[in-house]
Amino acid sequence: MRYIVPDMLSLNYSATGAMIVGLGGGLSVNLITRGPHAGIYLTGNISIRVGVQVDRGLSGTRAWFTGNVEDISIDSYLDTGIDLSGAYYIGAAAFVSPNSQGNVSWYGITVGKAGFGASGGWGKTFLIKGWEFNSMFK
Amino acid sequence: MDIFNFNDDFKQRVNKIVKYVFPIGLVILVVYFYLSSASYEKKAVKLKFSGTVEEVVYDGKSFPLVTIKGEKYYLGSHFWNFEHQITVGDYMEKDSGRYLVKLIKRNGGKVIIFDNK
Repeated sequence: MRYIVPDMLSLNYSATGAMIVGLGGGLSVNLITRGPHAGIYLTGNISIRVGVQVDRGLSGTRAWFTGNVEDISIDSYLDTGIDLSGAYYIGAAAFVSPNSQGNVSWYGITVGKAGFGASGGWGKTFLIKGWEFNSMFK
Repeated sequence: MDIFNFNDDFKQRVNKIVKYVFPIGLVILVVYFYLSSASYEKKAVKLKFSGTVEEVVYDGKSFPLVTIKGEKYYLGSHFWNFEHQITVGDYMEKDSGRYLVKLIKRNGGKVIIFDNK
């Protein structure tokens, strides 16, 4: 079931500009679909990129937490993230969210955006605002 | 100025490279992080400690680095979600070979168990 309905679904607006090196950034509305911290979270991210890529626009993400459902939280998704992104009219990216010792807590795929080229990115994701369903419906 | 206003020849040359580099990069990303995660989880399950928490620092993903009896232990397994509940003065214990971590709170002695359920 977790593979059909992922642990997190996101709608992103982002842009990338890299000619050998560059920057990427964007805003996301994330829906954590299960676990005690299920809810809606607004996050931002910025990344340093290596490659040649120009793109911008809306994209959708499907992401999975690597541990048990009871331990899913937005916290483990924040901070460091590494991704590989490519665009050929439509864009696609794969990302992992590892901790300081390389242990991946989240991974996922993103599809959308318009542009061309490809780049790898290392960046930070930060929480802007979150609403947990548990608190919303109490 | 339109940032998409690049020469078509240039776009095509870039996309030719992308066709080969992207799948290779993807495989490297997946293999590297699969191996590093497996390696960290092996390390995490082997951790063994017991004693009073002398210091605790949470990283950007809220994983704690705790100091017990002068030794530092990074508790970064995705099977633990400590949610900032570890504080200085609490008692913690973990045996090697299991994920189970027992946290006994300093005030009131409340026992909290973290495990791979």
